[in-house]
Amino acid sequence: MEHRLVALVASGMEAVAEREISQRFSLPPGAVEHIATPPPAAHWVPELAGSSVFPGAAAVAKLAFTVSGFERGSALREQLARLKSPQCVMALVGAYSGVPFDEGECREWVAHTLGRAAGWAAALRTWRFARREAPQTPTFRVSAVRDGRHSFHAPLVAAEVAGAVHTLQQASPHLFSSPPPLASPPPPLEGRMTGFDLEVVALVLQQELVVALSLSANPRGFRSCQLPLEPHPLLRHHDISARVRCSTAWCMLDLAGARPGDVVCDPMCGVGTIPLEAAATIPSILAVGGDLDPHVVRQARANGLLWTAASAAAASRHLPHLSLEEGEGAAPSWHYEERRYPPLPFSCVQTLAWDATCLPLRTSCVDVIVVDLPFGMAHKAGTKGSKPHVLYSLVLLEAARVLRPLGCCVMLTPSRGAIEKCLRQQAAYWVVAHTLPVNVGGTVAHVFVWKRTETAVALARADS
Amino acid sequence: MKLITHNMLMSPGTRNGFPLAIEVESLEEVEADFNPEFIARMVEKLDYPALLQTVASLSVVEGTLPPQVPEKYAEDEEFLKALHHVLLEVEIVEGSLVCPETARKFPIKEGIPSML
Repeated sequence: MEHRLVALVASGMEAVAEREISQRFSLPPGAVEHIATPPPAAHWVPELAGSSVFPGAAAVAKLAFTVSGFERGSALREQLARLKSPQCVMALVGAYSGVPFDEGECREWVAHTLGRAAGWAAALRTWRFARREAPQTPTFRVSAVRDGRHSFHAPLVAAEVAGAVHTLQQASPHLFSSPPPLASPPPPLEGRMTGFDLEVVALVLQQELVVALSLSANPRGFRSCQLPLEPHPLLRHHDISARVRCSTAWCMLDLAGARPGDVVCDPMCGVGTIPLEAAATIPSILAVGGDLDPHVVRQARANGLLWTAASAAAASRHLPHLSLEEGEGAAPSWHYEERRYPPLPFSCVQTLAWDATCLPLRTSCVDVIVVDLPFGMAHKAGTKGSKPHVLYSLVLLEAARVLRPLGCCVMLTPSRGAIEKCLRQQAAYWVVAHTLPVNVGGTVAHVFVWKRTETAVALARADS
Repeated sequence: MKLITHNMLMSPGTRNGFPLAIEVESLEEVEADFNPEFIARMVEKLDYPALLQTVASLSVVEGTLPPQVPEKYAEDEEFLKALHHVLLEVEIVEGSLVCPETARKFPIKEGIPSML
């Protein structure tokens, strides 16, 4: 049985995700298909012209691929839970081009396109296969997310897709019910906003529509502002206003090329998202994180201790993956089922309270820096000076000092101008490897991958 | 804080603030999985003389480390195990780090050094 799936990935990170998905499922080159939206004639963001990255929650990258050969749903779930780059993976119903911008035309178009779409039966089979439990006749909800110059909003899309689901069921009453077919036609599908079994997800970006069935047990479903909710089993403690996604953290570590034996440092680590993702997915590393806020550092340490204990237990009991769900304050179980970490040879996580503009680390002792820089004024990037670049240049100068020659620094920030200003000031210390526009949480930001040159940092310190 | 981290730490904003002296109030010995590859890869990153100096100052930690890193350290399991214990199984829970240049003190509370 084949399963046609779609992975949602931070757009800009498609290449990283494609590599991971191909390796995980041993797919041949070209087997992962990008469902791309052609850029509009006048791009919303002029500097992104020619790029596949758009602002907006629906502008998440969609990678379609087909897997087969699973005897049980649990085996498929396990493999999906081991993927680290996607925000979520769903059963793909189909991708359709030509969404009209006008409300009336769109109603007709959705009914016409989805009312006879071929992908439903296969997607529903995959949904039943992958779900732990699926009732014979499920209740359903349609969650829609929309971005583009349409004359209508997402709820209209959701209502029209729900209408198409009802039409489909009238035409083939057994489509949504599990085999063996009921003797009498099953009752009409019941739509529910909460407590639904089946979540149909419709993503509209400009003239493209992607319809998929959520495989997540997350009871809250999709919300357009946090598309989609992502499990974070390593972060039981997370009192923080903004946090990089675990999937994005993993992609950044992949871009950094962090390898066994490396010292990986996040100078602004918050609750430890990046150091923990590093230690949990790369064997034999030392992951060091620090932050200015003592409260989040305590949380990062607590998260680190939970992970360390779970790793030791998994190694000694030969478990296939870490069991992180025990104890007080555990997240809902889907967090632990949908993102899993197999035990690896020992890595170490350490957390400190420090100021990223004045790091307490020896010169050249770090191999890789991966950092989610504070996003502008909203997260106090301006408190050290009037502009983010004042903070950024101090942080990057310290990054240059503590990184070894040819070490790698990966940064995520929406303030491209501030970073480029820093680069001009510090051109002697850095070689730009990549500049990737990415869509994180609907906002367009950039990931910068820089390599350290061999030029020693001239210290302008207190005693000079 | 483990001693592997201490070996990387210097007093922020100084030129010679390394190694930081440790004033221990509470120290725990914890168990960590022995991963010879990890330890061998960390050897080249360590400041070994500073590590010896630190270990000597902590009378509670057994001093089984040789005065120099053995030539074929990657295959020397006895050495790697001794280093493993010192780097990863000694946890400073409470105390202070003292800058050798300025004598400034940085508190360690609940295992977290505050280097602010």
